[in-house]
Amino acid sequence: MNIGSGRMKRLLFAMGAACVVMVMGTAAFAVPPTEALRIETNQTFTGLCCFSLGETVSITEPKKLVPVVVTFSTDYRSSSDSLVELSVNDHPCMKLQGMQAAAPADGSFASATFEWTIFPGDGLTPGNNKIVLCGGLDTTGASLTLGFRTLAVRISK
Amino acid sequence: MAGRIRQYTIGLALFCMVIGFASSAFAVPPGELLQMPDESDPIGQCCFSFNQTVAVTEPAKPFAVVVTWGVQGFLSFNTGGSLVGLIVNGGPCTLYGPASIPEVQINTSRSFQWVIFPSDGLRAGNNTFTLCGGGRFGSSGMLLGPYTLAARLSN
Repeated sequence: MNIGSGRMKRLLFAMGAACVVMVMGTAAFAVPPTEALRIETNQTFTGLCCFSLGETVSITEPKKLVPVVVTFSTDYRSSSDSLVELSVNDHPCMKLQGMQAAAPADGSFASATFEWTIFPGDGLTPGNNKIVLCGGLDTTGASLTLGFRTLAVRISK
Repeated sequence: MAGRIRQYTIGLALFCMVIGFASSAFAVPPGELLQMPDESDPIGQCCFSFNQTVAVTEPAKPFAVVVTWGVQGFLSFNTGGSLVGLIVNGGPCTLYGPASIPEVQINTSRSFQWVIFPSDGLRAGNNTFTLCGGGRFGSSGMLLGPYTLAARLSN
């Protein structure tokens, strides 16, 4: 009886532990709203690169850091080539990518999508991590207008 | 005592089964990814359905969904270019992020990322995302290269 009871207790403990793991696994899919954003207003910038463009997302890292993937997708008009970068946890902007000048005569927009992989060595820390889009023009007097756009971050798998 | 433990064990087993089923809902079901291997030429003024749909299954409390459209080049024949968006769960064609296809020919691959929030009409269970769009001002049509459409729950 005691042996059977002990076995049941161990079984109960093991199942409880399995449940905790499963619950935590499910919770890992929870999406804080800051992991993705969408902006539906046009915004014009005129400064030389690089400064904050205002869009911020954040993501929670586990104790053992893993890379994250950040994707910025936008409609835009630009009278000169522009640059976009990311700032991780208030570090200087980095991982520069170019955006070709595009100013259709009919006033319409071009579109572009940029993807970055941020590694632990780029300044990620356990817990909450803030990622800010930055950039600017590469020619004095030029302007960049961002149209509808999205910024999303996800843990790489 | 043993009887009580047995009852707890059964209760715990049932709870685990429920959690297990809930977790399996996150497994990639068919329909989250679509591949259009051929060129297509949707014709008409914005906005109409392109009849290409992906779907994701949301848990009881819906999360944001990220939809990515990757296309191997395009050309809009419309003055002012064309627009591309999504129909979510049969609603109106809406722009959930960048949408512009310029009048100039683009021969390289491009992608568009769209973010759909629960407040945009997502619901628990199956949710559909149908590609839509058309000419910004006219109905001269556009030419799209082969493309993929993918939807995923945000992390």
